[in-house]
Amino acid sequence: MGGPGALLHELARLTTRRRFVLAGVVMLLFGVASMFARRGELLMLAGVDGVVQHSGSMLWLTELDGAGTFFLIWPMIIGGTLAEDLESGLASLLITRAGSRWRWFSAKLGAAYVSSTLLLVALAVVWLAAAAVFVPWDPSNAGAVVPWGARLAVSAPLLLGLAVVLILGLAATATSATSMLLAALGAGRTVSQVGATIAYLAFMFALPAPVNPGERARMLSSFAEWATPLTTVTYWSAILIVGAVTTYLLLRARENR
Amino acid sequence: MNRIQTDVPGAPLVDVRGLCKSYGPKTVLDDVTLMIRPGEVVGLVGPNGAGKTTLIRILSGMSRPSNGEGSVLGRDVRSTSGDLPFMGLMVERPMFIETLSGRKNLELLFGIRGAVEPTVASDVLRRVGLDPHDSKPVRTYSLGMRQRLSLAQAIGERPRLVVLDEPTNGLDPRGIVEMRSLVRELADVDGMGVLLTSHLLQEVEAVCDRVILLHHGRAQHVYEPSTTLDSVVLVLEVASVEDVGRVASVETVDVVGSDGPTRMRIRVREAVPDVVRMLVMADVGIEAIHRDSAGLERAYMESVGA
Repeated sequence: MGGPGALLHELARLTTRRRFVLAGVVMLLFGVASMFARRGELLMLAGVDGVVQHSGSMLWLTELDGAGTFFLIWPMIIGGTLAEDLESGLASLLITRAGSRWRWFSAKLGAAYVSSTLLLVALAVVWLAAAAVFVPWDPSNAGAVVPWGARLAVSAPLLLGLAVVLILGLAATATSATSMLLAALGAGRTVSQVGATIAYLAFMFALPAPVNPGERARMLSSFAEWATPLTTVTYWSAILIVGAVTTYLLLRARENR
Repeated sequence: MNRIQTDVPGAPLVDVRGLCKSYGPKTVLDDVTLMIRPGEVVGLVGPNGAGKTTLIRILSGMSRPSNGEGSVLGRDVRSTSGDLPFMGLMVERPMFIETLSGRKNLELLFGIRGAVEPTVASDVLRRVGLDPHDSKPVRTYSLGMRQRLSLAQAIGERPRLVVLDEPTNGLDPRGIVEMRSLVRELADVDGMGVLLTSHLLQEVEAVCDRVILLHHGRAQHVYEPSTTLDSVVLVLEVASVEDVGRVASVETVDVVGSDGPTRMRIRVREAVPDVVRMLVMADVGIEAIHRDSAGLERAYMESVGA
């Protein structure tokens, strides 16, 4: 009860939202435009020119990793469904169907992850294609973007692509937990969406590095030099768990306050 | 899981006593007792802020009572953790996935509890008066159609208990009549227990077996339309109230007018022949006799002190 069905329902809710589609289209166009604007860097061979690193055909990876705007907008979309549930009374209807609050809430997190990852796959494919139009595949400088990706880019590029979208999906879900937290705190109920957005941004920018959006340009390689896929995944999982558990406890406290 | 009674057929679906709920110093529910059996339609009426939503939230396991005891579908009403029993809920502001059809919405919602027969969505759509083949997105639906869809999602999986919050909102007169008949059918034919809230007192009176009048969180009155719906009003030709004589002292009679024609209300239908006989013997002229079908309205106004 409340397993795949609840996930499917939440996923359908998310992916059919106009703002989801709009955000996806904007991100695709923004990425392609960015590729075009940085075509000089693309056309250069990978390497270092002075202090500037060029990633060549790996620019798609740089773009994905640095898609900070995306990770600011995205949580508002995902967190919006929670605010909606709480405002409309839909929460009780969905919870009684799912059988428990936890199943309802984890379906939301699951949908956030799946929808984020699917959109990131689309972004990665389009940006990669845009890069491939200009330059031949040259993975030699992938390590400049993601240290642990250097060898994978050469030996198993598809696996690198998969790892990238899976980790970025996790990062998106972790940040979405922050907006759910805001919804649970009542921001979605008591102030307008614009107010909630401002509160959200203020909150995010008040966070220390590397969670701070201004600092976290490297979502794929948290903890710099000693970053591995495992430490990066652990880092984002920890943020997700803290956000999700706090949100869940807040929701329970709201009910019985 | 907190089960405090065996789930036996015919046992009350809802049996709660002395429910209280406070938010800090503010008491929103105060000593409410409620029982709903299978096949019974119970109404819940009261002004805005009377505690209806809080009571529904407690019954559906969304909120824990500050005090009180009992069970809902066999589950301890004091527990809000663990597995919750399934009940059909029709919320006041129905929300759906706007870009999908009504049928697709139902299929997704029903899928939350596991696989259901593909025909379930179609069948329930027909039952509530919607076309199962209509592929238009829900965003094009009128308020009335949304209400019907909301009812469909509440009853489609044949829950034993259904909570309907303002089900006639946005319905046209024909829709209201159909909704009334469908609610009765849910109880009489399907054997469901139904808890219904509405501000349309006549509708509540027409469809419910019992009505609870809630005001300031307290159940002020339990009204039973079957025994009080057909109270009879006699309009008498008398010069003064005193002329009615000893008839007015009959326990089931209220004398309700002093200016113009005196009106007497006989609260119990069975007492009508005796009262009429007494009036005839006392030589009091009876100008007219009619049924008073505004019993709930009167009880409501008395209850809220209007």
